[in-house]
Amino acid sequence: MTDELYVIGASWLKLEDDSDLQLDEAVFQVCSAALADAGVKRHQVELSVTSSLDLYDGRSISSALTAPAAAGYLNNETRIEGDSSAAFLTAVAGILANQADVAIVAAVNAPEVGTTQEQGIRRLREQVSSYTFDAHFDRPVGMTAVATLGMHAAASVDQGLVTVDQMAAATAAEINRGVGSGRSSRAATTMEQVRSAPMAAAPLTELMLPAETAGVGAVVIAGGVIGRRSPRIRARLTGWGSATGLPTWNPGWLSEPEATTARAAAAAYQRAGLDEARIGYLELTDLSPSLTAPLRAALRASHLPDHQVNRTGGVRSNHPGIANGLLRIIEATEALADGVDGAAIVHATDDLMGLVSATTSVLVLEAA
Amino acid sequence: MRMHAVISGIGITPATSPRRQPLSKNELCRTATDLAIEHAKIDRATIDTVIIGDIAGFEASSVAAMTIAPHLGLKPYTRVIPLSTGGTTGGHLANHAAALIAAGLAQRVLCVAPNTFDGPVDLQAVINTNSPMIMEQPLGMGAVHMAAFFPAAYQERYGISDDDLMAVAAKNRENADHNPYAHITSALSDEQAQRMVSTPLRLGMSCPVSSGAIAMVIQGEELARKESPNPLVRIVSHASISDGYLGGKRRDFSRFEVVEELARRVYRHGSIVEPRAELDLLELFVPFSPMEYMLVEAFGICGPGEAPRLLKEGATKYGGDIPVNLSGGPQCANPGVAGQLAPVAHVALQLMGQAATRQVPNARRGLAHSAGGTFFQFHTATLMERVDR
Repeated sequence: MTDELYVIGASWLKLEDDSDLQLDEAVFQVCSAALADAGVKRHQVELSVTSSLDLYDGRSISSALTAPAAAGYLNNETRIEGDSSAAFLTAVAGILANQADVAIVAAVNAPEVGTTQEQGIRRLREQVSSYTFDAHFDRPVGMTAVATLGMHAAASVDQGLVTVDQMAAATAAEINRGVGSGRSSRAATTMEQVRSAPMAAAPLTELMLPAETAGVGAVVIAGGVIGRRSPRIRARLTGWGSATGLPTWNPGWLSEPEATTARAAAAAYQRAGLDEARIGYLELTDLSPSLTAPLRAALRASHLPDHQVNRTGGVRSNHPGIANGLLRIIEATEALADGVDGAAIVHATDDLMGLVSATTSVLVLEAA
Repeated sequence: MRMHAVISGIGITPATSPRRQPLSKNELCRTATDLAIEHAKIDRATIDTVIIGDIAGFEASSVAAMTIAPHLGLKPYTRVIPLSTGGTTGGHLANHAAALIAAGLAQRVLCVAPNTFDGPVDLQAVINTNSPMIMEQPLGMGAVHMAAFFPAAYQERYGISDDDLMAVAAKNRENADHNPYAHITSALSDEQAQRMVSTPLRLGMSCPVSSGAIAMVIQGEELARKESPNPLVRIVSHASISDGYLGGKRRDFSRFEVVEELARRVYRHGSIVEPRAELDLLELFVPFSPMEYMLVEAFGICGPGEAPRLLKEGATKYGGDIPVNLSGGPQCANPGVAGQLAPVAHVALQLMGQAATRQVPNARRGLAHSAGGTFFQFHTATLMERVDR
């Protein structure tokens, strides 16, 4: 039995319009790179967990195509429909349950829309989001992920918790922090440009929304001695927690969406024995700038200076849908490699229905 | 706290045709959940995780778990895990719950297997979209055609008759006569049963399109010893496997090679040496009944080509030494994800001594299986054992 868990390899592939890869080819390429990064051969993997969605992939049971490419051929495999941080925790469970010593998590966000441009991807995601909401009560009134973000931002502005200028300034700063990071999809901008961008869901402009991108990622996890003796340990996982938010008929989803994060964080920090003074870095999934402050408070990370949060711009520079959680994990391990002082916290949440019924995971990563 | 996982409560709704189903998906799942919680005698508020399956590409929604979960009466912020692996989704629900409990990541898990097929007007056309786009779809192959490859190859290799293929279907329909949750029973007329679907598969060998839901409470063994009035059924071993995507990877359609490997793993972890002697029953996911022969062989109950003889000798019937699909299997009720969890549910009830169908006397150990994907690419196995209190 082991409680030791290590992230021992990772790879990320940003998909662009000229990416000449079929879906399974992209998954195979990324997983091969992650395994090479870990110094692990494909046959050593005993569990493959994929995070993907049929309706994004444009086919039913799309995991049938991707699982063999994700080291799932002749192997234990499963697929989680949600943010890849939940798939990550599924792999963690497999290792802790002695089902595997080495597991791979593949996150797939390659929407079949013929473009990797932000607006095209968002259009599909909004259609699928509508299709995810309850057919009788929510779809008819136009509920989508972006609509929920707009409602929260409007309520926050109305209550004086944040101003549109503050949201625009924070957005511009985040986008500019991501420029040049290699994974960002947005160009440098100004507060005025953020304010004057096309309105998405008042008061949120398009630039205040997550920068929708396409990408495929993979992370290799190992437990116990196998992990400890890996040639290039990226991080040790010491804490984790997750919780699922409230449905539309409970107004808490709108008035206090950060409560889900607070619950996940409490579980993660307790498991890790972490107090807020040891938090050195945060990868935050704040889907709207109106969520930033309450989420940071829920994560007990309000004290962190801005350069220790989302140093590559977070979701406003790159938000690869349900693959986001894995990207945030990779970003956090890279921050640890660059010498972050303290633990790196990963906060990830799905946005299938925006703030409604969203599952949030909080992970504590530490240098090995 | 790590614990062995035990199944402590099961809720099954009767299966019927989607067109005759008066309940919505949410209502069916709530009904099954209420039954499972009542069976387990646990406090609903103590459930910390719910795992819900779906096959989004077949349904009239995406990630149905997100709209089902709030209707289950669980406490706010309960973790919801949406799982989707096609025809093995149901099998994965129980297996993942067992892993979470063994890992110490959960203590009381509710697995919910909804009805899958209640949305589309033409379900077969929807299911056919699962056929690979590059090779199979352009050739006009759908799910039934791909399923027919297996019995055709088996028949060719072992020289068995069409009657032999139908015999296993007749056995399962007769079993279903004793299952109050079954959709199709021996009341199916011979004329209907003999209608050819895709050579050599006939209608009577093929699963119906059903509607129904199943829920299951799986919890840590130490907790169940205090809380559950039922005999404890431990999940002692579980595994899954994927073949390649395209049909060409199967190499030999007369056997399920990947299930042979799956069986090795699940038996290895479960310390099973002689499966026919050590197992008391099997529930196999056979949407097309001739698959049962091949799966019985792949799970090591007999050698290749010997399963038809086992049936003729009565070994796999009720009263035989290794009864298979006493519930009637998916050939008698296939509500999608619920049909995939059904094998686990029926084996567990048998091991509790509370069989929904005819009880195997003193059943102590059993195996459940699910299968799906293109050319039955995916399979799961769940090995269960009754443990003394």
